[in-house]
Amino acid sequence: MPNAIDLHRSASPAETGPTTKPAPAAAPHHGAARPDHIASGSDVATSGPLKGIRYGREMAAAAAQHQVDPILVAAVAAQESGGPGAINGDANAVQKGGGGRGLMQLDERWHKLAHPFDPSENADKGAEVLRNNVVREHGDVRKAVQEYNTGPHPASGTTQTWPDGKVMNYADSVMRHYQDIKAHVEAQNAKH
Amino acid sequence: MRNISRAILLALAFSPLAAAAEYVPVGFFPVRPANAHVLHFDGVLVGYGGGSGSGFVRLRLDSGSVREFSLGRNIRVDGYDPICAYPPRLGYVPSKFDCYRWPVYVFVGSTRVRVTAWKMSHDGATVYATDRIDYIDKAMYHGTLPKD
Repeated sequence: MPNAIDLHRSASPAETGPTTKPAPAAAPHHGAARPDHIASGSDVATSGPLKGIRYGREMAAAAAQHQVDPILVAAVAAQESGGPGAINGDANAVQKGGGGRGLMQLDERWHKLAHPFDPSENADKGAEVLRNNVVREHGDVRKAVQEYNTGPHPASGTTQTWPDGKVMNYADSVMRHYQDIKAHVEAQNAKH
Repeated sequence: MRNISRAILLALAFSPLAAAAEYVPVGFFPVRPANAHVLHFDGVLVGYGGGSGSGFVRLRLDSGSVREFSLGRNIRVDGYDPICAYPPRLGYVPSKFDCYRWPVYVFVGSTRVRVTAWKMSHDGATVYATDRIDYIDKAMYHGTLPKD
């Protein structure tokens, strides 16, 4: 069990590894809360580090705020509320049999959110949790991602079956989302 | 009438709408069955937390061994209904924003508690799950309790 005091310590980029370097500048977006948020075409980012990804603008702003790799934030969102094979998350997702709410499935047992279905607020808290986990795990992104699912607890967490039949544990599945999203964003950028 | 209902259900099941159903995340936060055989474990609370898919409670039993419990959907800590990812430890008192409705006299790592649990099967393994932690005493804690 790590010392919880570490949670409030600010880590240098060197401590947290290359995937936690500050994201390219993205305009902070803290729009009006949308508790009954319904996704629309305008939710797809048209620029920035998550171009072509739904809620990419919100997630990029949250990633910049908490100095986390924006693609990692998007990968966790895709895993949490998009499902196997998805590159997008769903801001309206509600966990079955649990307390997970919204884009990054912030659980009401652990986190107090005024508007869990607002993608900006949800992504902001999710990125903060990821950042804290990375700091606590001394830059080990895989462990930090695992902790997002199970807490600081040695368990493999949720397993998922991908469309190709491969069964993956939580961290491996997030990393696969990461590669897919990265390729998608690169393809979007290559179009122009 | 029954045949009509069945036909409607079948039509819905094979409709494009059903095929494009939204992904529903599933977590493991068990609910205690009404007929569950309840067990009690006394010891020092040495871990509490969780994430988007599951939660855990870790107890150092009076026998010295450590036992893990899966956190139930409706957890009560000495009667409180907490929203708390990182509860207080010696030397660390979280802000109310980080830990809400957690009893201030329960410290991870030092407070003796009673865990109410039941046995269940999950992914082919037998696990203990809990939905209730009660304060017994501060057996190992000799400092000053923080003010709420």
